[in-house]
Amino acid sequence: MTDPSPSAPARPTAGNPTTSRILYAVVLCLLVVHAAQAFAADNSWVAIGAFGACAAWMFGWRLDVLRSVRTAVVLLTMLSVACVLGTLTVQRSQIHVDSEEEYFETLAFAWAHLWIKATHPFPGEPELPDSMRAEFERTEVAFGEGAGDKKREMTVKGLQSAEDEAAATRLAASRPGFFRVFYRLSEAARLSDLHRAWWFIGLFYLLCGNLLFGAVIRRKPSLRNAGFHAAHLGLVFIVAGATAGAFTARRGVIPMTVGDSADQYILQEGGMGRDDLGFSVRLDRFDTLYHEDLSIELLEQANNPHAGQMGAHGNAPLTHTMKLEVGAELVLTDPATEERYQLFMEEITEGAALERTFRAGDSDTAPPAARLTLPMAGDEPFWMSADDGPYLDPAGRFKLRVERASQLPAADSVIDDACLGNPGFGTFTIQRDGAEAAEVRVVPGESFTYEGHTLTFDRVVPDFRVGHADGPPDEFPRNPALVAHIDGEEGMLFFFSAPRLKGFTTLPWDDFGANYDYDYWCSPAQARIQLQITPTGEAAAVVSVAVGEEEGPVTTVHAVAEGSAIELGPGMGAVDVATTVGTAVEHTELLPVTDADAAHAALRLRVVGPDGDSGERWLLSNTPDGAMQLGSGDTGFLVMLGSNTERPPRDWRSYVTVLMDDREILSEELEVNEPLLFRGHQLFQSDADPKRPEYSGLQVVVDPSWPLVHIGLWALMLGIAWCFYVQPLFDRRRKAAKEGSR
Amino acid sequence: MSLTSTWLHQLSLIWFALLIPLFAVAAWRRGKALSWVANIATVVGMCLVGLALYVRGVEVAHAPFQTLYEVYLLLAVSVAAAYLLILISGGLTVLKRAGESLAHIFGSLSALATVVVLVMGLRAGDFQTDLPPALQSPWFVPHVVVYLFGYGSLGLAMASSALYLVGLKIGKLSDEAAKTVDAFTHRIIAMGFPFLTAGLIMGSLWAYEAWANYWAWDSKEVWALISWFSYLIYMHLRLIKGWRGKPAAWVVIIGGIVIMITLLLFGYLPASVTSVHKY
Repeated sequence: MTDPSPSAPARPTAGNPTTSRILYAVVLCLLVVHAAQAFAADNSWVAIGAFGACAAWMFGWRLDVLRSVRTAVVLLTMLSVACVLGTLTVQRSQIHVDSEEEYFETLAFAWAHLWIKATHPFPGEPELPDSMRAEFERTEVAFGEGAGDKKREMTVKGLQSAEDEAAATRLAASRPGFFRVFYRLSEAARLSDLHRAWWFIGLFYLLCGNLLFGAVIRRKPSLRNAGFHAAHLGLVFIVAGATAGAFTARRGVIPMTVGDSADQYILQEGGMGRDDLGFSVRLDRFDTLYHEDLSIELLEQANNPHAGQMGAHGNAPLTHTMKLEVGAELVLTDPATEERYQLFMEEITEGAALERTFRAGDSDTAPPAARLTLPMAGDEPFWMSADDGPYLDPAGRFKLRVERASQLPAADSVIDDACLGNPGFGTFTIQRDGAEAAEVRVVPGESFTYEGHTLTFDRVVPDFRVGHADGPPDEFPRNPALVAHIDGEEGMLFFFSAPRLKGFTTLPWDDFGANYDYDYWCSPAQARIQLQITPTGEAAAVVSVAVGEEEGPVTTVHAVAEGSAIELGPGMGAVDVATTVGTAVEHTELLPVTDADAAHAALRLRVVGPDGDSGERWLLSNTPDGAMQLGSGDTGFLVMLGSNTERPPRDWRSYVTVLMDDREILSEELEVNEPLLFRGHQLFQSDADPKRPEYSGLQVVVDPSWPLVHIGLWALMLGIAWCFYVQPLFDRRRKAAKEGSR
Repeated sequence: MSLTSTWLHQLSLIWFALLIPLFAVAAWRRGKALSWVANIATVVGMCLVGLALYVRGVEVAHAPFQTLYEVYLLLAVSVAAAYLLILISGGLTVLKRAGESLAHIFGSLSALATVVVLVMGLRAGDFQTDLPPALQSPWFVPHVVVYLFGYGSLGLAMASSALYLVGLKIGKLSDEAAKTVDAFTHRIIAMGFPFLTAGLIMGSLWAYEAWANYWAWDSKEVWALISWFSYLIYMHLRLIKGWRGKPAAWVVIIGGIVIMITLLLFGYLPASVTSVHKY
């Protein structure tokens, strides 16, 4: 590891040109090339001609310049400076803009951002709202291990970069003239398209000339010098290969869906031109592969009165993501009660589903349930109980709810409908122990007083999802929620109408001791079915069908026997009722599923509670059905398994078959980092669309010069290693031999 | 307390922070025994950071070379490893010819460099993310490890150049001693530069497999090229009469700054708006 070219100060070169003379020659050469490219309106051949003439001038009359080590240093320095300048502007090759104005805006923003970053390298701590701070503190208590601190850190970083970006946008907008000067300068020197500017490319060519005439041909080939030659020639090979590639290589894309065949690809440069592959490619299958590990999400019960403020930026349940592994352990602390739970991960499966069944039970308090088939072709029968929220038809045709009834309404009667002319969003029922129940129409903004407390309805969220408290307003109400607050008390209350989330339907109010029920039934659904079941299993259906927009629904009562059907109305089919159970006990079972589309991942947990009692439970990923309640109804947690399909995928895999004249030649799997080479065409997995699971974007590269570049890269890498690690060994031996002979 | 990478990270930070005065005392007292203790302590420190890196790998379930936090840990290992390699290969013996205490001051600077890297690692925050498809390649580990070892040793070359320039400035280096320090700097670069080259070229070979393009003028690629050019300039500058010594030392300092920009700051450059190298 010593000097590769031992103690050789300047080797005498012909004339030994001064640095200023080299600079003069090189700069003159580049100016001519730059001017030629500008005047010839980007005709490469003119620029190349000008470059050739200049190079000939240097080569013919100033050979000493081309051969000097000084020239190498000058050229490398100029290249470095050009590269620095190039990254101080936005490269046109790296972005896609529709207009020059858009390019300028991008550029001005980037410069303003750089300025902001340079003048404020250490942004101050942003002011966090109290609600957020409280959330982070509670997260820390609940999950420990710095979970809250990490969340705070992430939030702060996010806020800081958002602030920087906002400041940069303001700065860019306030000084357009200032930035335009830089823009003009950068354009005049072609800095914004640096690697297609011939003055820049010319520097590489001059460097190659210098390498060839100054280094390669001036040193004798020998084993000692192998590294020297390999390194210098390697660089020449790379530049030569890149030049050849610029003229010969073609790049393009093939957008495909499963089953498609293609024998052409769309060229990336030059509009929407196409080129023939010379064979055809068929996409047989496309898989998106996900990370195998799962994350766990823990929600503090949203209507827990102890829960943090849930304000305008959305509901903020305490969530925590962790990697799951069999054998892993998680300790949870309820911030309200400080009760600790230990969760042990016992088993993880891919591709599982929960099957719910109900059996007749003997408890009087158990809800009734029914096994139903819906009027959609091919649908499996499923169980619904009175503890479930209403079933909402995905097509928006009806909603259905199983209800407990002490007495059935008279069959074949027409009854008044409470929903008739209702301008609100369903009914809210509240009952305190020993007091009269009150039922109120839900109208956002209105309040009502019950037992000395005033409850105000704030808004109705048609499709409540964690993290998206305000779904689009026209969203189909799959999970409607009512947001309310009690006057004079902190916190918001969330009432769910369709909550498979157990424990959200009816909850005792902390010290108020009331039960409430939000029934969002005046939905845009066309028909409403209330399947009323008595404890003895007798059933009747109350069916409301809208007649017209103005008139409201007509409600009729049908007697229901097991095996009979409830007619919904013209063109809407019927709901088949297979079984009704008066008092039903739920039984859930985890089933292995082979259908990849329906599959959830599942985790078997052993939970040790604060009293030391333990139990086991399966969690199913990405569905509230598979959630688990910890703690008592109002203060506990809901533990959910996050889906790995919501995180960025691990990889994409295209199964392709190459065909020639309809004959299958080969079948291959393409992945990112694993391209396929066929007849000079490299096929790469390059694009995917989460919204279109069958879509795969392939990239095609035909680059005949790649072998040259490939050889050059390896020669450069190994050559330099030889120069610094092997060549010194030769020198040491030679030195020893010399000393020995002396 | 469970064994976490953050905890080990903090422990090794304290360890290397203690090494700085230890080397300084060794420089002052010129004690052989003290210098042995300090060097063995460097080995222990390197193992500590190495263990932190290993634990981190277990925590994130992939090779821990993705986020800035992980890269800083690897860089700390690299700096310590580069120091030890220089020691083993007899480089410090060369430096001692210019003055016994210089080797210890260099040791102190190495420990300081490690501390700076570890502090920056703590500042970066240990966020975890999944490995995106492009990073799942056999090139991932060699590309990053080779590069970071190159960075570690070239960082030490920067320290050696600083020693040279400051020594001359305050008049503590004789001409002969200055030449020795200059040769020492070159020795370190001769060790690290092939790694820098290999890292650059492995990146290129990898990019061809992952992005169908061996060179796309992405801002990170451009800065990697600039840092490579800096050391090429240094190598060739030494062949020209009158440019050894101070000018070459300044090139090494600039090269170190360029590496820092490549590694840390490139994300702020205007050309990085669309960089594919942001992880």
